[in-house]
Amino acid sequence: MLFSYPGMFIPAIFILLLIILAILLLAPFNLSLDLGKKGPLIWGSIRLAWLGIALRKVEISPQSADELLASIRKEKTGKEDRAVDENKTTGKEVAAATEKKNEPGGKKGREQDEKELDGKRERREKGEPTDATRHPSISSLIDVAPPLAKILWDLLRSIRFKNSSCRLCFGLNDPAQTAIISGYLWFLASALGIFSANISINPWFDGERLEGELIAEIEARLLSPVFAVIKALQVREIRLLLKEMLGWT
Amino acid sequence: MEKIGPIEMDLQVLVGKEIKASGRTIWPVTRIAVLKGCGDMVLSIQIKPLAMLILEPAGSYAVSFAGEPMTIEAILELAPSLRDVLEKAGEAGQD
Repeated sequence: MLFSYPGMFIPAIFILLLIILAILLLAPFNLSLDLGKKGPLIWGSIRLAWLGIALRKVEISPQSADELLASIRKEKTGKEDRAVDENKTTGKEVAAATEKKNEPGGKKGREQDEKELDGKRERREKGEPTDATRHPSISSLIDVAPPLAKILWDLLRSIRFKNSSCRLCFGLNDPAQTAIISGYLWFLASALGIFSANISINPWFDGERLEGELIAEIEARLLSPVFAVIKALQVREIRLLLKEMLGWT
Repeated sequence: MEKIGPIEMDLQVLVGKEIKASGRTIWPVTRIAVLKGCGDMVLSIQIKPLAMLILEPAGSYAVSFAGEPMTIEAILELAPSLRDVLEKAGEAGQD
């Protein structure tokens, strides 16, 4: 019925898009963490969900730290091997392209490359920023620090910790160091505003030890980061820093 | 462990990590007091250095942080685990 009137079609699409955007911004992302270590055993699960749909799920079945490290190392070696294979293939492609350039018809390409290189060299000699030298100046970073800190604080406040509990028992080879680190951890928990009955940090003074459990449900909406970006772009110092980093100044 | 109502005071005299400096080995002895509340929640930790055992090639001696002279026997009474350290140092000296 709604689409039977031609004039209603565009507003209906617009409203539909607004609804989709509102859902995207307001529906919270949930990150569930359940990590633990007892004796030599390590277990855990990490789950990222949106609107009840699991976007990413990682499960670590109870296994010893050595086994876990071995599996990570194995995965890493596998990735490296794959990268080497890919490099070999790309190398062949590059060699083919170079051969093409060296052909009489590829003269134009070579001249263009040489021109680009000369331009870069000249800019470097004049002290002008090239692609690799677009670092912000220290004074811009200092100027931008207070508004950036405020925005980051707003962003952090938008993250909600639900049902979080942390139990940690640790010991270093020096009891004095153990006590000092324990003090630092309590300070950190207090500074982050998570000083509650659900947190237990117990120092172990009879040798090295690390045991504990972390259960946390973190909720965050996309609305806050989007607002934070808009707010950041309204600040002159941040705009200037971005322009400087992009090489627009 | 001393218990005062729901609060517990855990007092331990422990030997810290050895410090090696120019041929000397220093073993610190510290007293760690942990104040625990309900459910083993740590309320406060106090670390107080009491003494140190110094091992030198020429011999071993103890120094008290209270400023009073201290004998090897007195430091062994405080921290009996240092006996092993002394024995090992003696064996090494004989070798």
